Amino acid sequence: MEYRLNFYGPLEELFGAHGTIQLQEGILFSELRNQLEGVFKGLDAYPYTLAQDGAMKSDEEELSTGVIEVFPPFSGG
Amino acid sequence: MSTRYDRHMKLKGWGAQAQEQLQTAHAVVVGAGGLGSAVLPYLASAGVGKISIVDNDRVSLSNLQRQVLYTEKDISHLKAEVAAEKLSALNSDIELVVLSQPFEAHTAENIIDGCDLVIDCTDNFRTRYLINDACVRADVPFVFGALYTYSGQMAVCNYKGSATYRCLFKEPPTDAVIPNCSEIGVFSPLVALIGSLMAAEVLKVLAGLESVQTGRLITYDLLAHQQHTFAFKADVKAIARIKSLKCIEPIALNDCGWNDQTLYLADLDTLKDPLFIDVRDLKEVPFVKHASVVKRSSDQLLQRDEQLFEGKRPLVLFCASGKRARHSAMKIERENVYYLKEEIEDFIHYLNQMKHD
Repeated sequence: MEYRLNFYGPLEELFGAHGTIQLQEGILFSELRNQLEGVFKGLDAYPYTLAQDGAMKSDEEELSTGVIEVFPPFSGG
Repeated sequence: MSTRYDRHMKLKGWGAQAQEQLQTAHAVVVGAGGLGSAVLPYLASAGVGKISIVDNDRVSLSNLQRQVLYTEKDISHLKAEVAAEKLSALNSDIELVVLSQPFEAHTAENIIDGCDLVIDCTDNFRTRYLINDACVRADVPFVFGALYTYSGQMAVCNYKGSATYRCLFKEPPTDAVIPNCSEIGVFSPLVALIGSLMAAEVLKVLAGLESVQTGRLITYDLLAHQQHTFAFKADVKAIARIKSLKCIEPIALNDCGWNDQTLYLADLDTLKDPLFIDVRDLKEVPFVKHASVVKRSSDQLLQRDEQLFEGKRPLVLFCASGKRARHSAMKIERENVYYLKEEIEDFIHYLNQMKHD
C-alpha cells in the first residue's frame, strides 16, 4: 500500500513537504524507520519522531493507514 | 485586587483565586533571546509574582530583528539585566531575579529550586535536555518552545506526571545537524507566535486553569498557516532513568556555544591589542578588512601557525556565527586564544566604530 508522508523543518528542506512510500500494512514503526532510512537517504543523520493519526508512535506500535508524520526537534529560540 | 489585572479577572474561568495563584508563583525563564523576549512581557504584565531570568548572553545588533524587548541602546549589555529593567518598568509589583550565567548541569538544580515552572526559551539542545532532566528530577513542570526558519514547536511537559521532552525526542542529536537561528535565520513574527503560545500555557499552569495542553506537541508553520497537534505519552522508563541518576548528565553534544574561551563584543575592550583571525573560507563574504584582522583556515591554525602563537598577543577567532571559530578555538587549547560568539555583521559594525573612535 502507498503511504503518504509529511516532513517538517530541515527534513522538509531535504525531502520536500510531502512524500510517499510503499509499505506492507500493519508493520511495526521500528520497521517503518528502517524502510524510511533506506528510501530517504540522509534521514538517519537526524533525530526524528514518527506520528500517525495525531499521535506520536513508539517502535513497538503497528502502522495504521493514516498519513505518516516525520518531525525532528528544532533548536532555535 | 488591583485594576491592573481587571481584564484577566473578568475572564470566565479566571477569577481572584487564579490571579492570586499567579502572584505567589515563581517562574524561571531560561533564555532571554527571541522566545524569552516574547514570553517575558506577558508573564510580567499578567502579574507572575517572581520571575527569574537566566541568560549570560549580551544584546547584539542582529538580535533586534526579533528580540523586541531590546533597543539599540541596549547593544552589548547583558540581556538578563536589560530584560529585568524593562519588565520592572512594565510591572513594579513583581520580583525579578537576574541570573546572568549559563544554565549548566552543576547550577541547574539550584536555579530551579523552589520554583513552580520553568520556561525553556533556549536555542540549543544541550540546555534543552538539561532543563528537561533538572525539571524531571525536581518534579517541576516546564514549557518548551523551539524554532526553525518559519516553523515552531511548543509543548507543556512534566505537568502532573505528563510526558517530558525526552519522551518526545528520545535520542538527543549527537552532532548539531539541526542548525540554530544564527545559521539559518528565523522569521521574526514566528518568535512572537510561538512565544505567545508558550506564555498562554505558562499562565494557564500557574493560574491553575484546567485546559493546559499537556502531552501534546503543537507545531505551527507560518508560511502555510498550518497548525498540527501530536499527542505524546510519558515514557515511564526514560523518566525513571533520569530520576535515578546521581547527578544531571549533560548530553554529549555541546551546542550551547559557551565556554571559557567565549568572548562577546563587550569583552573585546578588555583585551590588549588583540589579533582577530577570520577562520571562514577564503571567498566567504562579507570580506572583513582591518589592520588587526588576518585570515587563516582552521587547518592552518591547527597546524600551529607559530608566527601567530609567538608572544602573548590575544588571538580572537571569528567566523559567520561563532560556531566554526569556537570549534577551532577548542581544538587549539592554548592560553590567550579566544573565539567571538557574535555574528559577523555585528563584528563588522564594531570594527567600523573602532575606525571612527
